Amino acid sequence: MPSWIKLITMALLFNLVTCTATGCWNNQDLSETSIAAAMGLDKAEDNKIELTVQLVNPSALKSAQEGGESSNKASWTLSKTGETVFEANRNLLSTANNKILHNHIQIIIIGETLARDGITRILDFLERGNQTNRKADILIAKGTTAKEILSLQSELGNIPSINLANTIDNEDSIGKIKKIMFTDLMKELATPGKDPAIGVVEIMNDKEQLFIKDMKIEGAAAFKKDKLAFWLSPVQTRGLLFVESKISSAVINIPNPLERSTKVAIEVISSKAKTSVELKDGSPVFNIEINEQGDIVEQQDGGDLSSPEAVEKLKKETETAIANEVRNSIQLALDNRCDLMGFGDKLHKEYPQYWNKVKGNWDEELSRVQFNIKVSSDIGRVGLVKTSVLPK
Amino acid sequence: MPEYIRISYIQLTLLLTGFLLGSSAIMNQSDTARQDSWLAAILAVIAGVAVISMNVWISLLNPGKSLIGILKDKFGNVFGTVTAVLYIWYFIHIAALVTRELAEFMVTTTYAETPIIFVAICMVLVTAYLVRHGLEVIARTSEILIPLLIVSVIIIFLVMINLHEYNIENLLPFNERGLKPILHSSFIMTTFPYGESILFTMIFPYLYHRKLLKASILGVLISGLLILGITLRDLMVLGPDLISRVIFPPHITTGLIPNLDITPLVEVNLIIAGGIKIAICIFAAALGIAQLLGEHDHKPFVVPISVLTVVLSIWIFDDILAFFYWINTVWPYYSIPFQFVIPVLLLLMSWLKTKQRTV
Repeated sequence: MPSWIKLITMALLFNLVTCTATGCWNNQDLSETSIAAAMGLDKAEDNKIELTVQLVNPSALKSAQEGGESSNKASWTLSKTGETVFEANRNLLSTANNKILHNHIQIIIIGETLARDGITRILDFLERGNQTNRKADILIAKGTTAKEILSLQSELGNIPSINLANTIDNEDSIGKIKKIMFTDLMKELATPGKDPAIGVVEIMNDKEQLFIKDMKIEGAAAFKKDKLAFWLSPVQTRGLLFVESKISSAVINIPNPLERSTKVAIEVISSKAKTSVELKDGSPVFNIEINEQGDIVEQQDGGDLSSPEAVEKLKKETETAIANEVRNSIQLALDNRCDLMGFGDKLHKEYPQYWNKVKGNWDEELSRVQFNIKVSSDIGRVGLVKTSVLPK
Repeated sequence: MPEYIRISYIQLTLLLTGFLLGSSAIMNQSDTARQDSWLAAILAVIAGVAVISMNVWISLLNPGKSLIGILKDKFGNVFGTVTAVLYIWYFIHIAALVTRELAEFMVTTTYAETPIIFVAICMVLVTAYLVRHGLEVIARTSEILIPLLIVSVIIIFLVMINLHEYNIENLLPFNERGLKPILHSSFIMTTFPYGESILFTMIFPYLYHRKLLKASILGVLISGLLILGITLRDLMVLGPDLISRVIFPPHITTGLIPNLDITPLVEVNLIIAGGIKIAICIFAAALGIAQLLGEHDHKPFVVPISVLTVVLSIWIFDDILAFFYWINTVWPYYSIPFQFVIPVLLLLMSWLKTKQRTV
């Protein structure tokens, strides 16, 4: 081969590589895309689905960071309806000037009416899509619509949904919200003998102009299969979280052993729970063992709680308090024939044969389920003083 | 057979590892076994060791001959040529399947609007270039790239341990629906990929015969361990239901790592292992045609076969659902004659002949 042919071939190859190796067939500039930070799904009229997205305006965000007073808002919300989520999503394009990027969605909010009808049919679109953020948190809008929640204005920070996501993370450290990721929800929905619970957001005030501070992210929505069944209060949610070992931190107020009318605050540092099941006389008995460790962080009114007997009493009180919380939550779930704690799942894994017999009418069996709760509590640190000051 | 081409044993081991890992690094073939798929993977490795031993043995009993030569030798000129042509078709078919799978993965997960044929052409273009340079270059490429692949699988595995993403309870209940689904699943895993190692009877003549068996079994074991690791990882992270519904489990698994996007590592795995697999398949087919026609050089056949591979990969399936249906229901049975019946016949005939000779 003459050298000039080689040269031309090389040049052509070089061109080919530079054209193809850059990879982006459908290249899109950041300035030509709208980034969605949150998504809301509601039931609309005629059995349609209303999709709301909160879009971020990167340029407004930048000017706000630089200290300049931005004339544009950093975020805005759009909604459109459609018979399917995807159709609604495409219908958004009739309003939005840019293509909407879903990869950075932090929160998916589902309206109450839609949740009562069942959530499977809206989740499939998200699961199929290659743009879904599978780590996004899911929330249920209690007594309102997702659209309403996403229209709230933020006072701190620029993007309300990021604010919302941060609030969920904060709330997680007082253990009163059921934080659940999209993937985990899909896993729980498919697990036999386990009903999911999803965190709740609601609006407290009834004003014209609503801000982020007017809403409350607390508690959980309990689902029966994929339909919303009942609400859990924040404390009941915590009972559920204790069973699921998902407490990262919590505040437990127990009566002061010296003076019952006052309180001692215990901060739960770690809590691990283990559920086991055994068959007694042909019916399952669930044993829930919780190992909790906490610090004494506050003691109302004086007194010496440093003696071993007093510490023992504090532990006992904590154990009773946690056991009661857990018992209430389990009882509430069982009364509603909802297997939030995954008892059926446990049974399925330990005694598959027995589960095959009962799974047909597990709902009925649930109301007869027996369970024992055993809490063992430890006091870790007490802070910088041993005893509280006694006014004299 | 060009005598001057030699590859080392470590290269053979790594070639085999890459070939067997192939597309298994990204897809899950064991959806019938659900939570017991790890057991199916172990059973498949055991079967894989048996299969590779058989293939090595065939080669050892016919020193210096590749599959085409052995077929002609044992089955006579006419029937031997017919089976040889069928085998060449089979190799091209494997290459087309892997190409399609790789392209589907790219198009489904990353390049949503890119035409699938473009991805397929890009991949096969590179492998065709590789194959034209011969077996030594393929072997050296795998020597450099396959260790990377092994390391990246281990990295993903360890990262997931660190994140406490593993839930060992996903493996329960053990053996819930009896042995049948597990055996079925391990059968599918044996035919795809382990049984495909019949293709290496085209390559074994390039090696001295001393440590062939050891090196091959080592390759099967390494790839088996990696497949087992990938299966266990995805199972423990995703759970039995999700893993049976998701088309590319590793893509979802790695996507769950917070603040760190290592999904490209999975794609790298796929490109390395899938690329090596396509390259070996095309090489075996080209070499087979060359030997069948009595040519010394396989190079003229590389480009036509590559073109055929691309066209086939697009043409044989209408959509990805048909692809997966076919892979799980038809492919294992379609492979039986190529992977088990003919090799066992060859082995028996070769063995009887050597016995006659010694008697």
